[in-house]
Amino acid sequence: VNRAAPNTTWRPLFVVGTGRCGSTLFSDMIRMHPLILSVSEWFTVLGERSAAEDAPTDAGAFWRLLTIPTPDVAELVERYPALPELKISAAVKSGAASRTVAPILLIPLPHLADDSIEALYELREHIRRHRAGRLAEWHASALSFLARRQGKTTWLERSGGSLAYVDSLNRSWPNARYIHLYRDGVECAKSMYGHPYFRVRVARAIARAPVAIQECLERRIPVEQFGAYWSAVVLRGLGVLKKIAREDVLHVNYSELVRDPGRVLRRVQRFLDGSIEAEDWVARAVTLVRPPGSRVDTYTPATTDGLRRVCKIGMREIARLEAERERGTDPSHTILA
Amino acid sequence: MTPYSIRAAVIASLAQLTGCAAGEISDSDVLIDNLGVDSLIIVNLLVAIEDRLDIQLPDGCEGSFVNIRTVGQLVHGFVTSLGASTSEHEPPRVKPVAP
Repeated sequence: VNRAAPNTTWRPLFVVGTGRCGSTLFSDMIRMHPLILSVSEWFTVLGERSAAEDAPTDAGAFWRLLTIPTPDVAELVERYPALPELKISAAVKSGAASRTVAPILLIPLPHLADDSIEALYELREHIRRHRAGRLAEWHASALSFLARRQGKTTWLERSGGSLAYVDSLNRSWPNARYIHLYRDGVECAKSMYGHPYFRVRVARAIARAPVAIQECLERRIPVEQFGAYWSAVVLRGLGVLKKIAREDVLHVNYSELVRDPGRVLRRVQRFLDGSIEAEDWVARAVTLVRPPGSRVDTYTPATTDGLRRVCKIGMREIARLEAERERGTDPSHTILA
Repeated sequence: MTPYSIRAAVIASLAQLTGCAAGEISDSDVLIDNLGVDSLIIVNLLVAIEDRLDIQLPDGCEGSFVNIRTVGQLVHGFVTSLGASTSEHEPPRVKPVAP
């Protein structure tokens, strides 16, 4: 690895996807990179779109955002303390009721540091000393601070399902770059169906209202509507990404990532920072791919057919992306060639 | 398939998906403001139109429906995507005459 000096020209970099699309694996792979801090679920735990949309914000308000859970987050954590995404440390668990834990101690900080409470205190000091006026500046400053603290030069953020609010990310950081991770819509929809976080999202999308979490979880929603939600997120999200300069968006197919991780990660490496050689990183990151376990599909063929019908709306848009790559008009693909 | 039959299918599907009465939906209605039509409803609408008209929308047209503003533009989008003949006129709309 050629260690670079702290990267002062780094532009915000976000991994976006529909949710349940394999971005956790991707995030874990980036976490092994010697120079890039891989931040997980920062916006998820802070309020999703509302946390990603820029607004005038002072230090006190930013600190409260990081440390006081939204009612939704508090309720979901209390109901599902064993969710695999939650990484609350034993020390934090012993000291507070789950619903009062600072949001960034739920997932983001425990992923980054063994001493997540210490990291939180240091971040508080940084926020006290720092001067910023807008929420987007605060986020970038906090993430840059955490990157330096962990000996990294740059950062990348990945929140599950953030393609749904990529328009907010784009408004807040007009110079941001994106890695769009995508996966077969039927697989994503089936996985969303079994996940409480996405059950809430889909129930609210259907109701077009902030329905209470308990009511969301109790509603009987056909799995096809999870497929429709997936397609809707793809249509809207790709509509935003298409307007961004082509060289600032890298599209990554999850099934290619698990089939040929070395090839895909080298492509990612070039997109991240072509000047850094990190072949060691690629060699270590590919070991995270595990052979798929045998899973019993409990859906009837008719249900799966119905899902395919609604997912094909989004899949056609993705097929267009792939066709562009085949024609060599995708710059990331051109670089690889 | 005529623009008229496409329009009828779009209005009927919108009514079904939004709960609004078909007779109350007009071409000038703004999708999101007047009918609450968001991208999730648009996806369900695309599937419903394919079912109703027993057709398959051409590849690549889906994205163009997401940012459409009014019902009239939506109908026009389907007519264009399906290449319906515009030479066929809609049946004349006769205003009911008061007795």
